[in-house]
Amino acid sequence: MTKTLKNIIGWLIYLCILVGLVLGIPPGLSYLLKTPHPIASITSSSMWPALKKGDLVFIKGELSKEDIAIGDIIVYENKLGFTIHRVISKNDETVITKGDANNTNDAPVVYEEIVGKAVFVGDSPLRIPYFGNISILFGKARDKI
Amino acid sequence: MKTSNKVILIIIAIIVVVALIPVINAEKYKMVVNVVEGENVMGVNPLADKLDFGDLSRNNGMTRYVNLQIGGKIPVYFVVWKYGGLAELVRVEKNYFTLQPGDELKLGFAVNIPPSAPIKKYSGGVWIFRLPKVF
Repeated sequence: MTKTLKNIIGWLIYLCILVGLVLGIPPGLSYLLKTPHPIASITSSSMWPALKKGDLVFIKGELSKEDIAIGDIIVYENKLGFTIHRVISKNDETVITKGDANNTNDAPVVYEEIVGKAVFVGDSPLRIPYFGNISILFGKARDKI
Repeated sequence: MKTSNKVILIIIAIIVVVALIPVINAEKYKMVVNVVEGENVMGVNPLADKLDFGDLSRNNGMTRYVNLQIGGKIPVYFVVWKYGGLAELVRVEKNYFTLQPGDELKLGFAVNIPPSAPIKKYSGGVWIFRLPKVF
């Protein structure tokens, strides 16, 4: 086998692995974290400094009322899209959330609107700084089309 | 060295120089704010060489200004880039804009300290790129 052919095969294998990772990670994460929305990009500074603009965070789904505790960071769906804020109180019907950097509480959120909660490592949410900017950029580009 | 390699090197050198000139010419300021305990605390340390927002307590804000002037005969396109730990707390009044020759603008940099800010000193920087708008 010539050296050039070996190189081409090497690159093809590398490309296949890369494509496999890109296509496989989201469904893999969806399966592991039990949600159709396993990752989220932070687009505002309302949770600063726990979450920063441009962070990528991981969301765990399939939650019962008991799984949600005060201090958790939850994602819920509303008219404007998705919001990721911290739980400051809860009752049987709703939870009250607030952005750490905000001065006011959000409107009560019913449990059915909750998509999931942020995955924590120790006391801090698991986040990948700057990686959320990629999806923010794609979102902006898509909005312009 | 082959002629083709020389051409490639010259092209790379031109690209590097073209990219470097705006970086070298950019106005560079350091930003600093000291978040302190208490309510409505504002201690100003106005230093000309940096955007010093002084001492501020949570839920408080301060604006500092940079004066931009166009002296030549070509319009200039401005791009503002913030970086560092303070960047997320600072809002620039205007970004990606053009000033015509003779124009002057006081560009505001407003810092707002959220209630969740830990008590400490924050720093960062801002680069104001000036790109001649030839076309």
